[in-house]
Amino acid sequence: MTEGAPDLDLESLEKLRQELEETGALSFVLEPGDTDQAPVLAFILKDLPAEKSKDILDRADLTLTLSSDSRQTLETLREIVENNKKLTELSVKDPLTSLFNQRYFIEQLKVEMDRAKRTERPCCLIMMDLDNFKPVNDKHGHQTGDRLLKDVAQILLDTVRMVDIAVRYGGDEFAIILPDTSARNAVYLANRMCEALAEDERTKKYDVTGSLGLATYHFFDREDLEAFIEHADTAMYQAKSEGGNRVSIWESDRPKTRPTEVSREEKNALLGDPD
Amino acid sequence: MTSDAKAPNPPLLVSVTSGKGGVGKTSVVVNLALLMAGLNRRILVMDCDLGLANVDILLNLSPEKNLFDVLKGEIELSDVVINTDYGFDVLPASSGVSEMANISTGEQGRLLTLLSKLFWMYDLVLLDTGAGISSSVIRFNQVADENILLVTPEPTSITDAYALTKVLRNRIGRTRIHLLINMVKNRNEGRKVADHLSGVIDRFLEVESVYLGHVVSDPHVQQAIRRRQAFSSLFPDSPATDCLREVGKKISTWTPPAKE
Repeated sequence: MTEGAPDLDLESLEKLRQELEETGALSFVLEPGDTDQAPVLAFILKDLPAEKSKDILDRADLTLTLSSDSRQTLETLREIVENNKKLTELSVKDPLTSLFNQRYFIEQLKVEMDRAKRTERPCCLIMMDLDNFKPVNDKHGHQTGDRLLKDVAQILLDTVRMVDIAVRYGGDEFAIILPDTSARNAVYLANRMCEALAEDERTKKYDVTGSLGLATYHFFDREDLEAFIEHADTAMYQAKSEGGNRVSIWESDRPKTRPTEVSREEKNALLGDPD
Repeated sequence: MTSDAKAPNPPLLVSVTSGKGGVGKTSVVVNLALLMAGLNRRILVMDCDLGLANVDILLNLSPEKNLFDVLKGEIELSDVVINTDYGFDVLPASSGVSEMANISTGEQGRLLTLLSKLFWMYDLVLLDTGAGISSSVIRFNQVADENILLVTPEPTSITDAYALTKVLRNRIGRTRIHLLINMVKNRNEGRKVADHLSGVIDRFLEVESVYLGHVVSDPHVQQAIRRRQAFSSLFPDSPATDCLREVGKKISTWTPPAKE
């Protein structure tokens, strides 16, 4: 379509097109039919043959008719890109904590489970609920509660790896997707989070800690997304029921002690007084 | 050869094993063989301790031929086996058993065929495994129909015995072991150690641990070892011999599983 446009800076347009694509929600259409997933924004240039533009219009979710003045076109496009970025942010982030929101979480968990299936590498999920959070709200007010949630989000972000997806699941519940991570490493990471929360001055002040539940998804697992979340949730409730400030692992994911290994519990039983 | 004719019944293979060394395994095996030979059984002691040629030393035996000579066709199977003066036979570790880990699988297969042929010439084969949880120990325990776990009241012996039980359960699926408590002050202490260990095994492992018996600490045992003789022969009325005689009687009631 750009071919028929006089005075249009192709290089700038291409750059914008890339930016648009990176935001994920919009796509610059050259040929109808290219874009099955993303909403289609069609840039119809004035001198495009009517037959071709109709084709595109049929597939577009939003159309803009742009003038063939390249300067104006670019400015309009730039505006769209900026707004689009903001929209994307809003649609995936939790406004209070700036962590990802539940909607995005579900989407990404699905993606990661698919990836785990394809790559045959495990994916882990941590569900975390804060301990003693309600009293903070009750005693110190919601503003303090909100600030604390923000602090917790920051502590989490400082603890997780670049690839991990930290989410505010709702209320004082959080979720962390650990892509391409074995249960063994996930336990390590979960413990790190748990400790960070317990030791940070900002949470310590209110005696707020975390109950973390961990579940692993393997490529051979038949469970669906709901079951995966439920497993991590169940483990989280177990951590809570055991007194909080701890990590619990979904039952069937618990690492089996190696056949040669005698656990501390077994050892204590063996060395305890036979009487 | 004490067994001239081929035994009509399949042989019963019993291993005597321990998590920890130095609990008197070889001594128990040799004396048990001696006492059970007295019960009119054809008995072979197979020394599976690949590190130390224990039985040879304990009984002052010097083997000359080995299983590889049999494979080469130079000698007969019965030539590898040492007939002791005590009425049972010994297949020494030096007979080629110790080399089993290092030979090709083809040779290993032929050696095993040879061994099972040998086993059929006896009613009971006692396997003296090495101590610990090494793969060779596990393998010889796997070969055996029943496993006797030898334990002393020492804490390390108890924890190592438990560790071995766990390995036997998890690696080769054993669901039953027999507890023989060695070097105890009296029957009471034997029971106590066995009950305690059984309790922990019951709690954590799906293994039935059966109390087989106890052997009391007895100075006669050391005396006999120094003289390179079996204590049950040298001191047939010693307390340790009495204990082991009871154990032998129990084992003689065990029946081998159906075998091809």
